[in-house]
Amino acid sequence: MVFGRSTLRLSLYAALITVLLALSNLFVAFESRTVLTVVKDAAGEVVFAGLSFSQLSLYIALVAAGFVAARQIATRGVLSALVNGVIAGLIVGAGLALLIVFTEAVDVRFVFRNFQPLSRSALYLGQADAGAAITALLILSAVLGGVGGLMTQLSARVGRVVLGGISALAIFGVLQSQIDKVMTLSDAVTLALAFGGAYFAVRVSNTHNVRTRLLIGVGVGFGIALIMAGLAAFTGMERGTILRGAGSLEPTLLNLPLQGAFHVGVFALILMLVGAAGAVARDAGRLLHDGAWYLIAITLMLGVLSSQRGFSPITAGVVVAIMCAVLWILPPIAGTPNAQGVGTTSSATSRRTLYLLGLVILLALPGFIGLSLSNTLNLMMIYIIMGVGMNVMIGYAGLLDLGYVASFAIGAYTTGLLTTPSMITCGGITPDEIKNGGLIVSEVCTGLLTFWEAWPIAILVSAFVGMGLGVPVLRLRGDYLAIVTLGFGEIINRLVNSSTFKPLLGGPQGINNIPVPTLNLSFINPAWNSQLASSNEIYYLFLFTVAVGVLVVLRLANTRLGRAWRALRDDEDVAEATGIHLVGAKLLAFGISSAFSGMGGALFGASLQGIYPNSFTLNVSIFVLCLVIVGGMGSIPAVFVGAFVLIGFPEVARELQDYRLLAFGVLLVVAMLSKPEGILPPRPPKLSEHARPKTAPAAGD
Amino acid sequence: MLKSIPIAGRLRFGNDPVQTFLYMAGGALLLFFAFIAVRNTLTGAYGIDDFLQGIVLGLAQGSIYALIALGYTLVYGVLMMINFAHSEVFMGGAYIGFFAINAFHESGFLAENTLVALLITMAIGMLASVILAVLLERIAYRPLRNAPRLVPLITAIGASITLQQIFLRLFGGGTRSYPVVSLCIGGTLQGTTCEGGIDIMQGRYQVEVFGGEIVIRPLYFVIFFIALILMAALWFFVQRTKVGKAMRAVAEDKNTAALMGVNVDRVIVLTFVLGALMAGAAAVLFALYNRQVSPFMGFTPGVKAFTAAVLGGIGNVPGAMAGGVLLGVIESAAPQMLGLPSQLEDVVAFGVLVLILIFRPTGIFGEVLAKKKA
Repeated sequence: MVFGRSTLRLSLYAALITVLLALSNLFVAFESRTVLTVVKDAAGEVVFAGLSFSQLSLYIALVAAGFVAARQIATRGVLSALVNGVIAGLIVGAGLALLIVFTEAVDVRFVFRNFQPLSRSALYLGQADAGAAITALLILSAVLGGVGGLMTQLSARVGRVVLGGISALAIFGVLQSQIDKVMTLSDAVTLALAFGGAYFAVRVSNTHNVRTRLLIGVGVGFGIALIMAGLAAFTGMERGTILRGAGSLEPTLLNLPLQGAFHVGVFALILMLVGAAGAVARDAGRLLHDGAWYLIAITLMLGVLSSQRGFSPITAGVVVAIMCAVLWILPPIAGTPNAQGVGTTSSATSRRTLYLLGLVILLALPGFIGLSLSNTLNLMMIYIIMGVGMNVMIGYAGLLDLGYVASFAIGAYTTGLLTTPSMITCGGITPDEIKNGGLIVSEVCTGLLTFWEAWPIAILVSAFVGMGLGVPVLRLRGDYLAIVTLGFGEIINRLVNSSTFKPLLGGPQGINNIPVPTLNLSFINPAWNSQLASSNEIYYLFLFTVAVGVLVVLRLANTRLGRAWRALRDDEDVAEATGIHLVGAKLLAFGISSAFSGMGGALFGASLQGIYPNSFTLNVSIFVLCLVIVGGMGSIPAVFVGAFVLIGFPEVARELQDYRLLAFGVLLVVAMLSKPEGILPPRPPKLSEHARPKTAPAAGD
Repeated sequence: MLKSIPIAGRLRFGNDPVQTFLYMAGGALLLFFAFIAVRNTLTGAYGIDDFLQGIVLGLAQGSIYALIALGYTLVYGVLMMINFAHSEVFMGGAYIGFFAINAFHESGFLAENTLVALLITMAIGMLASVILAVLLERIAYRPLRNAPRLVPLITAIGASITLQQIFLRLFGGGTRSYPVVSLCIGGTLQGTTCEGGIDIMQGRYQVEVFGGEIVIRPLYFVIFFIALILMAALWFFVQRTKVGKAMRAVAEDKNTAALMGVNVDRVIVLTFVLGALMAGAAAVLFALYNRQVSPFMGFTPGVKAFTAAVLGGIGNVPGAMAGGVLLGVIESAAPQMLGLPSQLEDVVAFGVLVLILIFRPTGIFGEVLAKKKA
């Protein structure tokens, strides 16, 4: 039998989901959000009608329906996959067609408030009347369903490439208006040449000595630098401005026009580092190796995007091709060691080289991404700090905290209270009166403490409150902790919002005029005294905090305390029986994670220069939980990936924010159902020498 | 430690510093509250009429909490997990109930046959809740039956957010209001006023007691009695029917129950269905009384109902009933007694939760719960 039994059920699910999405107005709301721009020829005739995000999501839904339905019977051959895919697509198409017919006849706007007439939606496929639209829709859904069905017959590698291409198209299509002009094409190509050249040069040379490889890499990088500098000198082009944002008008950090020996030197150094990283990437473990390649791919894609206006099909084609090429090069994910030898060895030198490159990139980031992206980056940093702390709770110790926002708020409000000029510190006059008198508040009086003095206090206060909250539930199971913390998060929100504390905490208006941190190094150089006011500058404070936080947590993982946490996560009774002091370990977990959250809160308040109760809702806790869970509980790199995917992406793609929480909810459920360990699960802990079996060969590490 | 912990043992100080500290801190807090309450009563800021008013209000509010709490407690008893999405099951019932009653209102059926329309609305709300709960169990919880504890908990949170957001995306963000319903008993309805009888839906009556005046709405008693009937039915079902017996067996020990020929999966679905029936009824009652529904309406009653379940002893059916009513009374009487602003009303429920967790984690009606369970 060609027809799979599960096809009907799965396609009905898919149809139901698609119809619900249509009712929630997905296919109308994003019609104006272009993924591919309209192309016109010289005569002004439309050659390509463009692609909106609504259309893209419709196509993806249809292909996905075909794919999911046909995957169940993927072993039965091509014909069967095609038939089942077509049937699944048709069922989804029929569901949508019924919806069109139904909504033409009945006004559903009272019940479905977000709904707008479908005649303006992607479902009409550009057709004017419903009949033609339904015919077109059914044909399209059969075709796309069939395509989805056929996709199940691709080999794993090809499948990955196709999937990656589609994702690249969707992601860059959505983001393109925000992220062009980040990097010039020549820079991107130069960087990719240095990395790729070194990577393949090492493969050809077939050396196994890390030092030789590094030398080759540095040589390749230097060579490329020479060639590029030469080209720039000959052609007189000013565009060889590596790491200089074409979008940001005044690059603040590494403004490196190719003039003068010093700048050429820095340019060459950067390329040498990139080359060295490329040369040793194969020895640095799968994660770093693949990560580096993805980074190069993204660099190239950004370069391509910046060289073009809009996202035309040609640009899109190049972007997708780059993504596909990189995915093709990368060895398959399943199974760490493989035929090409990537990831079989991992040397410390190689890893350090790549880490160094990562550090340089992080330091240079604000220099070329521009202010609005910088803000997003800072927000991501705050969530990373909180995520790292949450990881201690949930990843290490297995305690679920749903009131994480409470310590975040406590940190923010403590800093706000201590550093903001108030009636007490201004000699009996309120800051508002000073402002009305035409003076600038910060020049007349300061807060009780500076940010640097208030920060540790805020961290300590958050830590102690966190511990205090943990005490009543110490003896109970984790579920109680979840609900108590959930309640506590709400309580904090109510308290800061309430009129009882209005004189102190400002009620719904919150605390304004929080001064920005001032970096006063005038004892070294009188000129070094600046306010970290812009998001580019405060980014370095965030980066420093994240670095310290990550170091602390990484070091903690393998201490006695870290092992105690893991033990009590796995089984409390056994942990207690082995002599672990449960109360102490749990309280320290509460305290440390709350300290991180408070640290982030303090930075949050100081960087925004104002805090409002509305910033401290349950959603914050949910976001942090999500990014830890989706990335992988207990793993630190996962927090970065989680923050990037869950905070950074929706923050840039503003229109999609309406669907953000919905996506998070679904993601939590799906992650738990299909991959409870997350995208990047933590490595199993290293055993000490004593614990390792003596006879067995040491595990490859 | 599978034995119950006797009271005397729990009050022994000294061998456990954390417990001692907790008792002292909690005791101090209680004494402080008692002091304020006594002072407010003595100065006349809080009188017996206020207390009665609190009780009357609290009984209605509390019986709604009790109905929701039953859902938490039943699922906890059987699966030992907090069904975080239960508050969304409740919300769904109220929302679908709104569409039903609104349709009746527009068609005039509500005005003609008020009682029947209200009953149908309630049935529809219950049905919607049941559908949501069954879907939830099938999609989100069943595959995780044997997963580590944290996994279903996180799934439940995810399911809760998902349901909330689906309702938000589909039905829009604003609140919607139930239509004004008047049900006149013993008189005739003239416009919106009930001549010569009692309007049990909309009526407000001033009653003089102990020299003070309190406002009584017959709706409070209607809610209380409907809740009482439902709870009695549930109690009968769990205690007296064969299926109820199977349910109790599964709660006791799933594997042994399966060996005795109980279909565990079916019993678990039934547990969700029972909880959802109660939640759906509570939702429609809640909406008739508060009149507003929104996708986020489930959160606060949900947390409070959970508190009620813990108060009565989680996993314990009569405990959840009593806990709900008790919490309702405390919540409506305490803020005024302590002189707190009404904004901080919700803080009270949370305070109660923390105090119970300190003094008696097994709940007031401390059914003997193994340490593993509590």
